[in-house]
Amino acid sequence: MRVFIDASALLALADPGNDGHHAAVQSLRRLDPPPALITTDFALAEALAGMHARHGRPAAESLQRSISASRALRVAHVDPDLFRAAWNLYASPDCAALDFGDCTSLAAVRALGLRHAMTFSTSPWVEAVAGLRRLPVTAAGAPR
Amino acid sequence: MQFITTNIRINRSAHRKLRYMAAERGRSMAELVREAVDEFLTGGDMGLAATEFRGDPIFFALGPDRPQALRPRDKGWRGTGPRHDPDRDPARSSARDRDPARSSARDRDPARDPARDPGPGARAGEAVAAPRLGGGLL
Repeated sequence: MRVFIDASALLALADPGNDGHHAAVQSLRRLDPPPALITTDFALAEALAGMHARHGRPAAESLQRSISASRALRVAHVDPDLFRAAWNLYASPDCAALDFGDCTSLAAVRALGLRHAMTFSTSPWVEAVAGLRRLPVTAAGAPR
Repeated sequence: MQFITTNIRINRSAHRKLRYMAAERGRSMAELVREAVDEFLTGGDMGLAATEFRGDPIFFALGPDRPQALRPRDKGWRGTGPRHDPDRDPARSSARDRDPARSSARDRDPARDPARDPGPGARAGEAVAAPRLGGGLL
């Protein structure tokens, strides 16, 4: 199983002080076999910027080191084709509620054929992909 | 998505297996190769054991869990998650917060006081506003 990790989920996973940390970690650790975690370089940049803004440069460096050392997380690069796809999505009226970072995530998930995405963002980008399941889920199985 | 056409040299045995698997699944050999390449490039199956996955550095970037009282306040970053986490045990954390005597030895250790420990990323003499860093695998 492959799970897309957006910037909000990266921050939740990495920071024990984040309100979503426990739910994020538990929902991934419950999966058997362990999932492959996929993110994009754009999401990474957003997460590092968010960590820097919230906790300062040392925390962002710490996140960077963890990502470098991680064997569970892979970074997919937004190539020119994917960038163009995201660019067109952003210009589309259907994606008016999404920011450009969401559009790159949306384009990456579609291109990679992923079926699961972890996010704590209030943006509806996950719902824009037919059949994409949002993680974490509540005990009742409904998306949170 | 745009495609390019390329030639790949593979050994006879692999070719025979690939042709058999493609026929069995009713798919083309090229489809199976493209799928395998995609999985390789995106880490489709990294084969991590559960224990290895649970200990992955991505879960400990800022150190292990610590009491709510030591957590920095959310300054409005949109990706910080919901304000309320139903999975967390509110009774235990609030009791800890109210009673310092119930905090763990690690929390009482002045050497690990977030006010004194600048974390591994800090340089000597540099003011650091970040919370305590450097737990776990870092």
